[in-house]
Amino acid sequence: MREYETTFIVRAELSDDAVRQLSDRIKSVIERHNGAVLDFQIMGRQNLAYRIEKQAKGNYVFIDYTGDTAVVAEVERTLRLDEGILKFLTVKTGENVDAKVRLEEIRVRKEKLAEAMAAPAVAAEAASKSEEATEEVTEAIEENANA
Amino acid sequence: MPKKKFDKKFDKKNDKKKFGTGRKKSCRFCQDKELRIDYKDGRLLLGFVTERGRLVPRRITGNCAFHQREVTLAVKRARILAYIPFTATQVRHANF
Repeated sequence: MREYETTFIVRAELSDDAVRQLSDRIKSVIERHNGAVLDFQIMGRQNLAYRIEKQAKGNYVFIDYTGDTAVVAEVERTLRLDEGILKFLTVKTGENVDAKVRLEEIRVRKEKLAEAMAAPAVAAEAASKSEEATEEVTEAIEENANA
Repeated sequence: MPKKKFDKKFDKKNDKKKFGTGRKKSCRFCQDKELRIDYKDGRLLLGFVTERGRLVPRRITGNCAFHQREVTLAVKRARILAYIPFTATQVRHANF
């Protein structure tokens, strides 16, 4: 089994529900051809660096999956037939991949990322607390001065 | 036939002395192992193209050969997905 990742750009005016429906269709295509979806992200509406079909914005969707060449062919055919798709790109990222192992790896990586995202928030909280403390101290000093 | 004499004119070591210290830039991606080259990271890749959108050579970016190859591939992929422009003239259309 090989690992592939496909990024495709959906017309920005399409609703989130429509994008989700489309993504589910592609996921089912992958599963029907004995592939496994490893990762899936709707990355949201972004400005395009150049206009595609007169559109300045697009909704980016990213799918990471395993499978053989038939899966890629079928996924790309589905994308090509859909008129809501502006552009897509499939990249091979691994050879002889075990889907279960990769799924676990991706899960661990995501957890780490979430932790890293949470860590600055905790630090910021601590900073605001220390700020409050210094405020109290300055207030106390002012009170003393007044007395 | 006598051996060729060492020609000082083409001595690279001496040239370096002539033209400044020649500070060697080190590869960003070798120094920071956490930094990943990803074609989806348009902001990172914009640092490796000129304002007109052309790839910046290795002697300027300071990347090692391996990572410059990775960057080149990533830039080409990012262009296809409209993360970064092919040319500068296209930027004008995008910001109408």
